[in-house]
Amino acid sequence: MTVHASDPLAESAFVQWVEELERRRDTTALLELLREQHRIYEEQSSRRIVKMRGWILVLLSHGELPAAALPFVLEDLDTSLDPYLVGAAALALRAYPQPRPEFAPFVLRALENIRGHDQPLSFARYGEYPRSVDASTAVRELLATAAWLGHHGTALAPRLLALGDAGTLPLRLRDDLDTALRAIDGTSRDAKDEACCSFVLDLARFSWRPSERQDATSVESTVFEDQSGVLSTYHDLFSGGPTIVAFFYTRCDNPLKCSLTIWKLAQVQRLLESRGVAGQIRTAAITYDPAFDLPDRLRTFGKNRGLRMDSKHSLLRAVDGIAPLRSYFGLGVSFAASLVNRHRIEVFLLDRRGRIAGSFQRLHWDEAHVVDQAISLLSDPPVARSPGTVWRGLPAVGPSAAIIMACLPKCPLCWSAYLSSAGLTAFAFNAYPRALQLVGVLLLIHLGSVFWRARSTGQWLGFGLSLVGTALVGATIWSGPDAQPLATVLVSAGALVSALGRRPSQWFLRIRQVIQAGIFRRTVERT
Amino acid sequence: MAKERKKATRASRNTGGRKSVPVGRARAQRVIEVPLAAPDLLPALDILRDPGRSVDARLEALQTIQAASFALLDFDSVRPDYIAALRQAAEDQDPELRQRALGILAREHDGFAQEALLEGLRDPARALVGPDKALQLLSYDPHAGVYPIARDIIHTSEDESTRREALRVLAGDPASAAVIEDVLADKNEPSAIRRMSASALHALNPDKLQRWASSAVLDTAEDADLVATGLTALTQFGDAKAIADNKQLRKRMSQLQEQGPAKIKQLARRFVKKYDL
Repeated sequence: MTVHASDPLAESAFVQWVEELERRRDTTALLELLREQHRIYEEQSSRRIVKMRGWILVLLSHGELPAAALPFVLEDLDTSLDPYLVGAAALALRAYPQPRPEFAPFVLRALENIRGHDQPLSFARYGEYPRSVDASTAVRELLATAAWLGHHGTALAPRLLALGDAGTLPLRLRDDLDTALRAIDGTSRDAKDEACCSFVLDLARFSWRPSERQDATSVESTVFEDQSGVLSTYHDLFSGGPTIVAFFYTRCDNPLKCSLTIWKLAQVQRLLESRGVAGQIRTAAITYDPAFDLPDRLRTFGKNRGLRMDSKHSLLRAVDGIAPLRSYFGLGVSFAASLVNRHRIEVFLLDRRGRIAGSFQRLHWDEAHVVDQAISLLSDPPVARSPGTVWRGLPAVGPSAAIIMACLPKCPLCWSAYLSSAGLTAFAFNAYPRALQLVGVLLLIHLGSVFWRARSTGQWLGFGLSLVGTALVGATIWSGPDAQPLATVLVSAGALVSALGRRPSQWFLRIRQVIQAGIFRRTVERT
Repeated sequence: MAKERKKATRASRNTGGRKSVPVGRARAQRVIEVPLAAPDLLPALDILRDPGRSVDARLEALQTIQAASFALLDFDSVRPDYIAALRQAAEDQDPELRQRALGILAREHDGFAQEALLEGLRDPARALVGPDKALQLLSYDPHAGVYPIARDIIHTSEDESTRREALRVLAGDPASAAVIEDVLADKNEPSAIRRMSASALHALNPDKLQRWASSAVLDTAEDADLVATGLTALTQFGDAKAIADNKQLRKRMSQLQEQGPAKIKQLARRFVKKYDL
């Protein structure tokens, strides 16, 4: 079935489609539909997406739940406040081949999250809103899942007992509670199961070795505006050191997602400070909703959550839209016009070249673990430090001045030869002293530029070559033109080494970056 | 909300074991009594669900349960029943009961209520409340999917109240900025509609509103209410440097201080004082 971006999929077509997939037992195709990026979610309301995703989970519960479905099921138990999604996720989890102790904390969190939000639910037909008091509820489904966990759900016992004591459980769910408690207490506990492994966490975190990381070229010229209205490119912001990047938007109505993400990012900043790496590892949060999240809104949102905001820690909006970032990061988000209608939790670790080195998705992430991973990126092989935006074009001055200087005649004889070839012999005498002055100025500009570059990169070879070359040029003006070709070669070599690095193999890459910097400046001017 | 509930429960405990706590006045100046425990709300829920009872009795029951939802710590034990009863009441014959039930459900971002309200906007024959009320209730949730319908209403509806609500809703939708700009620029639109557009544009694109405000103040043929709106926008949110550099604007302010309606003169003086022109 083909879905076009412009026309939202009709509910009837969706139901027909997914129920056909369920009849064919095509769980792979059903799981594919749970990806937020899927086109079926484009231009739908959030309410409809809840119904669509919930119904897919219900259909998945009719067969055996594959392991690949766990991230989606556990995500809704972990972060959703919608009773239909929580109830459907609890139902789907019970279709997993065997209960596991790692599921218990998710059921526990869902019981906490859904407090104050529960409502009657129906899983018999798509989109049904029951009005009967006998209908199931999210809490009832969670209690059934607790009972299914049996002795694996030992961690749930205190919470379930408290639920019974608090009087917040509907009277007709008393039997469900007793059944769950009996199932948990009635079987012997397996010591092996109690030691929680990283099985679940591994579903939600990913990392890539340096050789596997995707180049950030496609987004390097993306322009961002920060909470103070300052414009920078992706390259400026994310090159030179590792960065922890979270995605969010200020209108997110689930406090367990965006609001909590920014609050946790503030905790990350404090951890970075306490470990003494706040100056080396940057943090950033990028909004999914750049059209609405203007700098004022970003600043207020960050401030209210205790976020530190300065040149190394910022809240950002992509001024030309989120599309390039959505593609590069593979963001789990969908939109109705510019408004987010569904997204997952996602935090990325960028290496010092702005490439994605790791990510944490869907489930709640641990601040200390993220900081540990970011610190480990500090040991990646270093790359040349990136200069600031204002000075980005300065390295080009050195080679330009050197090339002009190399082409200019630098002695009276050469000057006469140049002008004679142009038929202007009579001007040679007058032009020579001015040419000397010009060469002197160009040499000074060149040396200054190469010195500045060497100071910022720590590579002094280029400056050394240029200095020797300049000295030789000076000497040849007074003593004769013998050493002039050598002097010109030294100055030019110094300029190239300074601008492009010591290894000729990297020169092509550097030239491409300089061209991209020019494209960025034009983009900023347009903006 | 949990804090409010705790506070209310503490207060109820301090009443010396009385069965209920007075929290307000009902339609007929009667004191509404909130039970001390959620299970005691079951009779009120029965009344709310029963179409055979009088509307007054059902509205009173609704008020009691709604008050209890803030006051009782154990309200969660009847919450699913309450939502089920509200969904039933939302389709009742009585318009007041319907509107009250839909209002409570809409504040909860309830899917049933949102779908019913959207359906009513698409097909007025099936509407449970008027379009202006439906838009207002749907505006509680920016994710409800009301923006495309609100944009249509701006173009198709002739009812000013409905169009004003639609503009208020669209103040949260950056994709509607162009529509709002058009309405603001159209001098054939009623003044109230244009002023609401100005407010919506300020929320979406403050810079664009500032540009419009400058041109509105300079436009001698502009409606006085809109000039006042422009002056207020420039005074409250203007860029001091841009205003100081705008010779035309400064000259126009001198004129407005001396001539025109009293309201405009006052606003112009406030503007000149703020920017020290």
